Parts: sequence; structure tokens; C-alpha cells
Amino acid sequence: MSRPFLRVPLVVSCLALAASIATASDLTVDGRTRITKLMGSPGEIQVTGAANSTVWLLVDSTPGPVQIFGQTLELGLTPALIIEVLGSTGPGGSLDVPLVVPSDPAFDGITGYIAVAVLDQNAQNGFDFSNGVAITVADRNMELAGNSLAQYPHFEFVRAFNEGANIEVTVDASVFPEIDGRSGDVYVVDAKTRDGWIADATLTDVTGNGPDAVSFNGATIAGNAFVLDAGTLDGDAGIDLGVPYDVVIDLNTNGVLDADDFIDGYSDEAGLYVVKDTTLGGPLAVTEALYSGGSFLGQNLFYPTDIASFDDPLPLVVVSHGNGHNYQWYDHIGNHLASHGFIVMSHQNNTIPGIETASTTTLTNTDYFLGNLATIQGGILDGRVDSSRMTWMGHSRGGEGVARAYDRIFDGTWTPVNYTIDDIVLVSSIAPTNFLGTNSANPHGVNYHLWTGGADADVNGCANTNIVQTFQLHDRAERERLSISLHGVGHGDFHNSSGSVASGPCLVGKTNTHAIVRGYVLPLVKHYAEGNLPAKDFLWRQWERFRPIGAPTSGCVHVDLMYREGPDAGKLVVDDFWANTALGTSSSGGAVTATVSNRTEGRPDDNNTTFTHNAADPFNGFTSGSGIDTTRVLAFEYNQQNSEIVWDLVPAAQDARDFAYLSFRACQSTRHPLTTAHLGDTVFTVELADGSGRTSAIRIDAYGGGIEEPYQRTSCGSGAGWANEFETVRLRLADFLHDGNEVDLADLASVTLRFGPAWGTRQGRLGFDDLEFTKD
Amino acid sequence: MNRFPRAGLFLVAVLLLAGAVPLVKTLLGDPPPPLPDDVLSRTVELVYARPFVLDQPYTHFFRAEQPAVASGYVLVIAADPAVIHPRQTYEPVLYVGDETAERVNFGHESGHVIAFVPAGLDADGQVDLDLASTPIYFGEPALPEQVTREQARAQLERAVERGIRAQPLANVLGRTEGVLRFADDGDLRLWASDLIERYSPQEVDLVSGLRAPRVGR
Repeated sequence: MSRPFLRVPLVVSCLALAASIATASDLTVDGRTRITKLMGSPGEIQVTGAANSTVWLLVDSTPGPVQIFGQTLELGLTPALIIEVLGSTGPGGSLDVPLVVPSDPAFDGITGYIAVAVLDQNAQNGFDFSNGVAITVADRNMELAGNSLAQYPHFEFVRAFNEGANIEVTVDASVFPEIDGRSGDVYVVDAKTRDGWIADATLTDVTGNGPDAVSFNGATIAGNAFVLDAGTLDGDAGIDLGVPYDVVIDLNTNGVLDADDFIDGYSDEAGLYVVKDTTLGGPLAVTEALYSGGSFLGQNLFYPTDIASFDDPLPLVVVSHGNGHNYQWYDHIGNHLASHGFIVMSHQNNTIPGIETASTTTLTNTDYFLGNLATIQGGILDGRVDSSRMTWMGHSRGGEGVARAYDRIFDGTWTPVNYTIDDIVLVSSIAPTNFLGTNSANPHGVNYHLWTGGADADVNGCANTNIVQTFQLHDRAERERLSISLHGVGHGDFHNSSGSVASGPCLVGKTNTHAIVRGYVLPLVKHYAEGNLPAKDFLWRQWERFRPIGAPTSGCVHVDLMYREGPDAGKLVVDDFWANTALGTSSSGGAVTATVSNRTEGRPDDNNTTFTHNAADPFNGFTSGSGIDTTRVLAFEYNQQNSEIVWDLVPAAQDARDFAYLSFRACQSTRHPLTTAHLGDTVFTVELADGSGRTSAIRIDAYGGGIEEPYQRTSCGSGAGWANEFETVRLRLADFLHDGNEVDLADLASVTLRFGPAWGTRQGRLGFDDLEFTKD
Repeated sequence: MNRFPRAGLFLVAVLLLAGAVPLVKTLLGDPPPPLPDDVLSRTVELVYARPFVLDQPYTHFFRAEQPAVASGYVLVIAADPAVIHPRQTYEPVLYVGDETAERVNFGHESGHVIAFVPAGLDADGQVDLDLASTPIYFGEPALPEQVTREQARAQLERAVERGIRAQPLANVLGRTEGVLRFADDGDLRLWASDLIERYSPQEVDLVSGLRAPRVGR
């Protein structure tokens, strides 16, 4: 008989009837006193005690112990207590009762505590309490696939793998002790949804050499890691990005997902995705057309040649060029995206008058295009453009223009005819100007993306004028915002006419820049226009660890990524320095203490016209805000001393179990002596501490890279080093639990950043912002 | 009709002799040069001028008031490439008297800018702009769309104070070729593409873009 857990009121009287003494009864589940059980998996409650006696099962939500009737009961005796007759022991004094862990997702992550009371006429009080057993319910969907890391947490579970890369699998025996000493067949199978698995649990390995027979004898997560596939899996998803696979450990080797088999992918999301080289063109032939709808309605169109064969309309990408540029200079984007199932329209942009006029041409060209599909190209696109999934991309003045265009619709000063503001799912600015400032060039609530070239010799990023400071638009964006900073890339490298318009060392050049742009623009628009999941990995995982396969590997190429979730993603902000501006209080209200030096919160706005080091300017080299921009960050330094910043967590932030990542962004401060003394990635350590004083720490370079040094460009004052480039670091919260670390994510007390010789780079001057718990 | 003014021919010849391709690449690939200190005092040479009239007015986005334009002049000017080099930051604004002119091309590779300047019609139906008495000059760097008529008048006053004067029209081409009449500015720009091709031949993409086939025609 299977017994699901039941919730019943507290029945104290049942216990009152019982007497005291005796602890001879023992209780285990599957032979263990602490176990994680997968939803839907079978198990067995095993009781030993007095022979031929009634056994009561007690289930509670806390572990206790409490003293009652002279005995120790390893339960909390909370109002959630459940008591139920479990059965009777036999003549041998044992009782084995099968159980099935409920499949209700509401139980995910919940730990239940059980004990039994065995009636025993020989005991002093007529019954005997057993020991307690902790059972944690885990979704059957778990993380298995990832990559080994050279240092703690020793393994990263990831969503996307590049085609040709090893795919490793591990199980942390400290989290799933039932794996210890067991063997099984490990399958890579074509991905199914959860419903698909329920309908058909048959396992069919797709690696070509059958499932791997593996024994899990490792005591550590690294000890159980093995290469499941050495890069043989197909990553060609056609116009999609990422071929989905699930991974199953078939512990009972019956070729079926059942019992307590492990699976990565028991959901609508696959266990892993293998992605092809995103710098390469897609499978679709592309037709390019040049036409005009009239004055400043010249358009260069790219679309799949066989668009008539598509059942569903395709998303639209609109490109708005910059000043002195031309709408026929974005073939590298048009051809690339159209070959992957997008429609790309690059339009004549009226940039010379200014940003307002440029934004008008973005607005009018988008409307013209959508309103004339019946005639453009003979009407072949009519009914085949999904105007509800539009991306606006703009370069330079056009990059500010697209933000301004969105702002005008947002403000109600422009009303499109053939689309609405909700149809714009992403605005992406390439090296944008910043003429109009906070109130007029503001991406507001649209997902916003920024490309910045460190060697840009036009929108150059220098401190002498806000007009050329690209990061300000980024920091104004209120929803999801992200950026890609490219060292050595010039203003002209982003288009496909001649010239780099670049200044600085180690120039990357147009060919390499275009490879990077193609490699990232595809996952960018796939993610925002189509909700593609593996694409997201490209947008935040450190370049040093994961990047487009065909991206250049020259030592001159440095790519820094920023990614911040929007407020509607359910994140919890620990400190963004916006509210509670006192140094001793985080924006979430918790205490902040620090032993780092020269700690300052404020607007990231260089206070003079150069990047020359200036001890009186705590935000030297910061170019993310100006005027009435509300963005604020923290700046500080440390020098050869171990030092720290500690954020105490307010009660609302102490239970992090619903979150997936601890996220923040950081940058090095350009030309500061503590920066130039090192001139490399800055590394530090992030530590979580719980209410019981248990800690777990991860060095940020465990995942491949630290915080990049500034691009070593001169001018804009004396010294070398260009504008400070923030990059995002996201640490998976579950990684802090690897190898038996018991820091309690349900009861976190603080987040600490540790700096100095014992924790990473010996010295540095840093900017820091957006310390958050995020969902995904 | 003399379609190639001497100045233009001379420049083309120089480019060819100097090896035009490398030079063009350099001009395109270089960062914008610093603006000359004396940009506001420099003479702008008028090379070509021809009046136009349109059936359908268009919006003059190069002034804050955004007036509707149904007539004016098409001009070709010669200027220092360092002044007219496109840049994303503020650029010197081209004025004709107290009116902002619309730059149709960039011209930094050729030294020639094709521009439209709005002007009304007089009682006789002629385009009412006396180029013989109207200075043409570059004013202070700005976004033209933010320049008001009042500011434009102030720019003219300062230009005159600096000694900027109208130039003799004897060598200016096009003046005797009659009024251009088009349905709208789309057709005007299409016609102007010939001027760009003639005076600023490096801007092939601009020309091809302006000549893109009109949908529905």
C-alpha cells in the first residue's frame, strides 16, 4: 500500500494517551535517516520496534527535537503535525511500508520530518518514539549536465553547450546520497516535455554509441563527473537555435524512465541544448531588395526567399543607421538574421538634423513597411510579418534615435498606425549618441541592449561630453537591460562599408567585429523575439567560458557582458544603491559594513572632462549617468589587505530558495593606481552565510573570468585606460551547496564580498552595483 | 550644358592622380578630424544653384519650427572636408542667410555638399531668394532640428560681424537653367542624386539609395 503524506490537524490527545520511556524503535526511509526523494519516486518506510505492535506515523514541517512525556521526539510538534496509523509490526518486530513521493510541484524543495511511535506495552509509557528522518522532496527534473570547474564549486550546470564541446554529467552525492555507490546507464535522448515523458518514458540514446554505463562512487561532485559526450551531438536546429536533449540516469537499467531514475529535462525546457556556430549563416536562402516609399522611406529588405512556405509570420528587425552612414551598410546583420528566419528592414535615416528627426524616420519607416506589405516586393510579405515581435536596432545617432522613437510612443507624442508600443520587444543601440538626455532618450520599459566599441573614435566615450557616453542609455533602461562591450572595436566596424573609425591599441577590425556581432545578434533577437532559451546563455555567461564558436580568438578580443533582469522577472534587489543612500544601509534596508577603503555611493558620472586619475573624483572613468539620471553605484578600493563588504539580509531576502542566481555587476576603475598596478582581470570571492553561521564561498573566476581591466586606450587626459566597463557575474545559488556545504538557503543572513590576497586579486579600485537574487 | 564645373573636374583629376581609392579609404576610415578653429570664418564657395518648386510641400526638419517647404533652391557648395566630415557629435550648421539649409549628402570625400534651402515665392511666382546678397556660411555646431528661426537670425548677424558676405554669382552654375518643378521632394531628391553623382561621386551608396525604385510606380 502506498501512503501519500496527509495533512491533518494536531491530535495532541493521541500523544497524551501514550506513556514515556524506551527508544528501541528505529526508523529509516530507504535505509537512510536523511534523504532527498524525487517526486513520484517510490520508497520504503522501514520500522523496527516491539513485535506485533501498532505503529503511528508522525509527519511534521520542522525537525525539533522536543521533549515530551519524558522522551525526545525529533519533530517540531507544529500545528502542521500529521498523525496516521502506519500499520503493525510483525512477529519479528519490523514493518516495511512502501511510499510514493507525491508528484505535486508544490512540494518541490520542501523537507518533511517523520518519526514513528510504536505501541509497546513493555515500555514505561506504553509506547516508544523512533529517531527522526528528514525527507526532502525534489522535482524529478534536476540538473545533471554541465562542465567541470577547476575550483569550487567544481561543476557548473548549464543550459547551452556549443556544438563540438564536451558535455559532462555529475550528481552531487551530498545532495542525493541515494546515488552513492550505485550504477546506471546514462542516456542522452531527444528532449520531451513533461507530458511527453509521462506519455512515453522509453529511453532511446542518440549519441550513436548507446548509453554509458556509469558507477557513482565519488564522494564529491567532481568525483562523480564524467564526460557523457565528447562533442558529437548535433547542434543544427535549422533556423532555430539549439537542439534540445534530455539526460537520464537509468538506475535500474530497464531502458525506461521510472522508479528513482534521475532526469535532466523533465519539464517543458530541455535538459540541455547544443548550439551551432552562431556566427555562421542559417539554412535559408535570402532575398535582398532595395526600394523606396518616397522621401526618407528608402528601405533595404532581407527576407527568406521561400517565405511563402512558412506557416507562421516571421519577426521583424528594423535597422536605423547613423550619421554619415547609409541604410545599405548592414548586410551582415540583414543576411545573417534573414537566413535564420527573420525579416530585416534597414531604412534611410534622417540623421543630419538630429535625434528627433532620426527617430521620426524610424517611426515612419516602420509604419510604412507594415502598412504597405501588400505592395512591397509584389506583396510576398503580406501576412508573413509578425509585427508583434519587433526589434529596433540603431547605430550611432540612429542608436539614440531608436530609443527616442520608443520614448515618443511611450510619452504619447507619437502614435503609430500599424503597430503599438507593446509590439516592440527589444531596442538595441550600437554605439549610440546621447544628445537628448534622461527625459527624451529613455528606453523606459522595453528590453534594452547596448553595443559599445572601446576604440570608437566618433562616439568615443570620453568624459568630456555626455553626447558620446553610450552607457547612459543603458542605465536608464528600466526593464531587462544588457550590453556587450568590445575592446578594440571602432565606430565604423559595426557597419559593412569601409573604415573602422577606430583609435587605440590592439584594434579588432571589421571582419572580427562582424563575426562577434553575428555571433551575438542571433541569440539576442532569438531570445527576445522568440523566447529562445539557450540563447540566453550567450547574453550573460562570461566570454572566457562560453562564446560563439566562430568568434575570433585573437588576444586583442575582449568581450564584456552586462545582463540585468527586469523588475517583472521576480528578482529581489539586495542593493542597487538607489534607495537608502547612507553607506551603512542597503537599498533593501539591511545593514552594510565594510573594511574596504574609500567607499562612496553616487551617480556613476566622471566629474571632469578627462579620464586622468584624480583622487578627488571617486567616479573617475564612470560614464553611465549624468544630469538627472537616477542610476547609482558603489565605488571602493583595497590594497594588499584582506577586506570585505558585508550586506546583512533583511528578513524578506533571507529565504533565497525561490531564486536561481546571485547576480551583480562590477567594473574596474580606469587609470587608478590600484588598477594599473594589476592590469588584468580582478578576482574576488562571494560568500553566503546563514543564520546558523554556516558559510559557503565561490571565487568569481571559477566560471572562467573576473572583472575585465579597462581597454588600454590613451587620450582623454593622461594615462592609459578607457571608460569603466561593468560586467555581470551570476553565481548559481545551488552551486554554494556543492560537496555537502550546508549553508541554508532558506535562512541566509548575509552576502559578503571578500577582497585581497586571500580571496583573489591583491589590490583594486572597483565599481559595484545591482546585487540581486534572480529567478533565471 | 556644362554639367561638370571646373572646380569639380579639378578635384576629380587630383583624386585620380593621387590614387583615389586609397585616399577614399583613408577618408572613410579615419576618425572625424577636429573642427578647424576658424570654421565660422571660412568662406563657403557656391558652385551651383537652381530654384525648385514642388506641387506637394515637405517638412524642413532642419529647423525647430519644421516649416513646410514648397519651393527653394538646390545648391552645391564647396567646403573644407574637415568642416563637413560627418560626425555623431554636433556639426557646424549650414546657413543660407537666416535660414538653415538641408544637407542632402555629406561630401567630406569630395569637398562638395548638395543642399536644399527653403524659400518662398514672390509676387511673380519666382523663388524669393537673392543669392547675390545672401551669405552662405557654416554656423556654430548644433543639431539643426534644434535651431530656431530666431537663433538662425542671430547666427547670420554673427556671420556678418565676422565678415562673411555673399559672393559674386558670375561663376555659379545652374542659375540660368530654369526652375525645377517636381511633384514632391522624393522626386527632388531623386534629381539631386545626379548632382551628388556629379559633385561627390564617392557617395555611391547614397546615390543608389536615393535612386531606389519607388514602390507602386
